[in-house]
Formats: sequence, C-alpha cells, structure tokens
Amino acid sequence: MIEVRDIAREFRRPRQVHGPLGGLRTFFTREVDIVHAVSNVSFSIDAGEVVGYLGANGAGKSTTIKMLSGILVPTSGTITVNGLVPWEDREANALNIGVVFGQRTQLWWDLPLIDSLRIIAKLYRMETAHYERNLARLDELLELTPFLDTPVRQLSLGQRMRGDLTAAMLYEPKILYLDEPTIGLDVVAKERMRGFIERVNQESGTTIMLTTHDLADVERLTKRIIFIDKGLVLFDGPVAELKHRYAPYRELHVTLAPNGDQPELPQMPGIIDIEETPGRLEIRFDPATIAVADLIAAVVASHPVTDLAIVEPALESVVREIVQSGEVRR
Amino acid sequence: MSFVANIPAWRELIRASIRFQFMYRFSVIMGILLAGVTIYLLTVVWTSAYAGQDEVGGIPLKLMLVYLTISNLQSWYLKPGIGFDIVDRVREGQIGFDLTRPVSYPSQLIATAAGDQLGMLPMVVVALPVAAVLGELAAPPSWQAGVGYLASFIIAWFIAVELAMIIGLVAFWTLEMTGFMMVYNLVGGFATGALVPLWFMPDLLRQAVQLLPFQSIVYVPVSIYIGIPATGSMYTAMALQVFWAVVLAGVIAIVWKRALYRTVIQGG
Repeated sequence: MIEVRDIAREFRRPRQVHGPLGGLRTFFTREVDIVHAVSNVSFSIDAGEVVGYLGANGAGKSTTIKMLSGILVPTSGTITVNGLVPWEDREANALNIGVVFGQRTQLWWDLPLIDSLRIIAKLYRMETAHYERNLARLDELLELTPFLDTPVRQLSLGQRMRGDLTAAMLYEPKILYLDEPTIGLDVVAKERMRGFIERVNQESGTTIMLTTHDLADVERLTKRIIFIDKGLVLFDGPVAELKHRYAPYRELHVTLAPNGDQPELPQMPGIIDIEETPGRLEIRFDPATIAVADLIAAVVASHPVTDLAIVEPALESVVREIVQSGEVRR
Repeated sequence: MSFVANIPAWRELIRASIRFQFMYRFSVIMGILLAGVTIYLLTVVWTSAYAGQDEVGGIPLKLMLVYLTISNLQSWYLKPGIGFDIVDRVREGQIGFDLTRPVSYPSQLIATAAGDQLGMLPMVVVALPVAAVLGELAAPPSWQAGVGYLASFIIAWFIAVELAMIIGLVAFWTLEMTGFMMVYNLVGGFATGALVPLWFMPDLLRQAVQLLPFQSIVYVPVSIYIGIPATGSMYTAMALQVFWAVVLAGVIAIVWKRALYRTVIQGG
C-alpha cells in the first residue's frame, strides 16, 4: 500500500551570524545551513496494517508524514502510496488519504463543526446520502451530537480532536495518517481515541500510520514499529522483538502478608536481580533460563504470599534507552 | 472529469465564504466608511484643482467626479482578501491541509474570492447612497457603456484575484510580507488610476502605468463606464484586460509549481 525508498529531505536556511552587526550580516550572508530532516528512510506498509512511527522530537516523523501526504517533495528518493506518487498526483492521492495533525485542525475555526464537515464532504465529492450515512456512524462512535452546532474555536481539545478524526474519516480513505492524535488529551479522551482507531482498522481495514509520543498508544494499537532517529530508520519490526532485544527479562512482583517472615530466596539460575522492600519483592528473571512456574513455586514455598504479578518491561523504558544511546541493539 | 466532479466543492466553498462575509460585516462597513472619506476628499481636491473651470483637458468636472466616485467604490468592492489568507495559512502551517485536498489550491482560492464578492454584494446597497452623497454618481451615457462596464468589471475582478494570489504566493519564499504589502498597496493603489485618472498623468508616468496590469482593475472598466474607454474603443480596452488575465494566469501556473517544491511547513 505504501512504498518508501531511500527518501531524504533537507531544508536550507540562511546561516545565522553572531557577533557585532550579526543581524545585518545574517541578512546579507549567502551561506546556508543544510538541515537533514530525513536522511535515508525506506519501508513498506501493507494494506490494513497499523504501524507506529516513533522517534524523538525532531527525528523526522512529521516530515515523513508530510512527504507521504504530498505536502512536501522529498529531496531524493521515491514514494508510492496506493500506486500514486503523492506530490505528483496530489489531488488523486488526496482522495485516498485522511490526515490528522494533532497540533492543528483542518476544520474551519469560525464555523460550526457540522458546516466544516459538510464542506469536507463536498471537497471529497461525496453524495449527500453517503455523507449522512457516514456521519451517523461516526457520530455513534465519537458522540459528536452535543457539539455539532458549536463553532470549532469554542470546542474543547478532546471535542476538536474528535471533530478532526471525523473530518479525516468522513470519506472513508484507504489510508489514515495520524500525527500525534492523542497529544494533550486526558485519559478518557485518549482511550476513546484509541478505541476508535482500533475499530476503524478492524471494521474498514484502513491502513494506519501513527506517530505519537505516548507509547501506550503504540502498545494498544500497533504490532509493528518503525523507529527513526536523526532521519534514519533504526528499527523496523514487531513491538515484541524490540522489547525482547532490550529487555529479555520479566519481573515477578510479589506482595507479602503483613508482618510475615521475609527470608532470603534460595540462589537459583536465571534470577538476575532481587529488589526487596518490607512487604514486597521484585524479582527480575530470565524466562529462557528459569520457568515462571518454578520461580513462583520457590517463592510461594518460602514466603507468605498474598499477591503475584508477572510484569513485562515497558516500551517506554526501551524507547528512552534507544533515544539516549542513538542506536538499536542487534 | 475532475472539473465537473469538483463543481459541488467549489460551490460549497463559495457558500462558506459568503457566510464569512456576513460574519465580518463590521469590517466591511468600516471599509465603506473609508471609501466614503476617500471619495469625499478626492471630490474636494479635484473640484479645487479645476479652479472654477467647467472643463480641463476636455474632461468636464462632473464627469471627473463620477469617474473618481465609481473608481473608489469599485476599489473598495474589489479587494480580494485571499492574499492575506495565503500568508496567514502558510505562516500557521494550515496550508498543509489545503494541499491535501482533491481540489487544487488555486481553484479553492478563486472559489473563496468569488464567495467573498457575492457576500459583499448586499453591502453595495449601503455603499451606493454613501458614495452618492459624498461624491457624484451618474448613469453611463449609453446602455452599451453599461453592459461593457459590467463585462469589463468581471475581467477586472479576475485580474484582482490573480494579483492577490501572486502576492500571497510570495509567502512560500518569505514570511516577511508586511513591508512588501505596503509597497504593493501604494504602487498598486496609485497605478489602478483610482486617485488620478491616467489621462491626467504626465506622459512618462502614464506610459509606465500602461505597462502594468493594475490599470485593468479600475481605470479600464471605469473609463468604459463614463464613455471614454482607455484605448479609444471599449473592445480593445477589454482585449487588453483579457491579455493581462491570461498572462497572469501563466505567471500563477509557474509560481505555483515552484511554490509546491518550496513548501516548508512551519512547526512540527
């Protein structure tokens, strides 16, 4: 569905001159700084996939999305989206894609939401009956009715984002680009957004590319991650694999009965680390070496256990480590 | 045919921008007051410049005042806001959405500009009496001049929209548009002939102004209205306008294509 080959995009800006008369010298300088927003990125995404596109601020995520949607032209490389080159067949491509930029709105600020949606329906060549059917369905999923007649500038952020998602999905595009769709939303609104994205993918088979800084979005919605940093792809594969490379361990969190004994655990192969606090044990272990059942049996045999939990490493700590080290472990 | 498929889209954009004009009616009314003051001042100045003579250079004072009144009424009416719209949308990064529509951005702008004009139409009812009181209004000398004026006016609208679009597209290269806009408004405002008709300009200035497209916005249609068309016949005058409309369309096609390759979206 989406084929990206060796794309790069650089931006030029006049070099800032500092020191005496710096402003004036900046004005006359002919030197430019070249910023490589995207250096060399390739990937392909199949129809119906949900892909998380991750990276730190300034890694090149939004620049890639803008090239995919035909807004920006890459400096080099090729892109085809559903068989079209986005910036050459801009208008035909537009019919295939829906775009949500979390920090902006495509809605008309001064018009009631319903008017914006009607304009968008016409822009995307929808028949009235088709528009009304789709609006009714989106209304059911996103509960738009209470604010359909409110001017967009008066909507809360959560309402506005629901409006923007409606606008992007109204004409049933095959592909949805979501650039930080949950930014700034509260817990309830985030959850609603995720539920919606999930349903759209499952029911309509919409291909979704999602950039976010909220890794709960990724864990909930995607199986595959593309991780970029400084304009290069660092990792492209399943979420589980990335976690496995970084944190091949699990943790067993044990809550002990109050005032009970807290004896030492016997030494066992596969236990990496034990963190002990009164009433609580956190045992980090390698599931490849020691079976979870054996470990639990050993703990229960020697300790008065009231609760047990096996915890997977959080994606967040994995991502923090990648961003800080600037590379992905092989 | 994407042209036919896009007609409902353009119609909806026109409808939306008509609504915007009603929302912004306060600034439209301020515009009428400004035009009224300009008309009044020009009437006073030109009456005094005629120094009691009925006619200067073959132009009777009354005809001169009608020219000035119609010119400034028309300058008020034909002021496409799309130039500022483009600059704002590029500055705020909203242009990204405009570029991901199945309808080309230039055609969206033309539809928006058409809606603006239609939305202002009811305001003409307010503007006309103001102009009549502060200036001088008269019917065209013949029905041919009236019909010619309407045709010429529509081409003038198109040229005004094209010029606004070209100026707005400069924002793709630089966002510092304020100074540029000031110069443009001053030069453009003078070169339309709304303050001084071309026939009273010194030769060198007139020849320079005649090489520019601005006279096609005001001077050409209004001179048809008062019955002394710019190039001697109203048909050649309109041909000149059409020439400029086509040239500017070509300029837009080139600038637009280059702008797309220049697009930088502000912000993340």
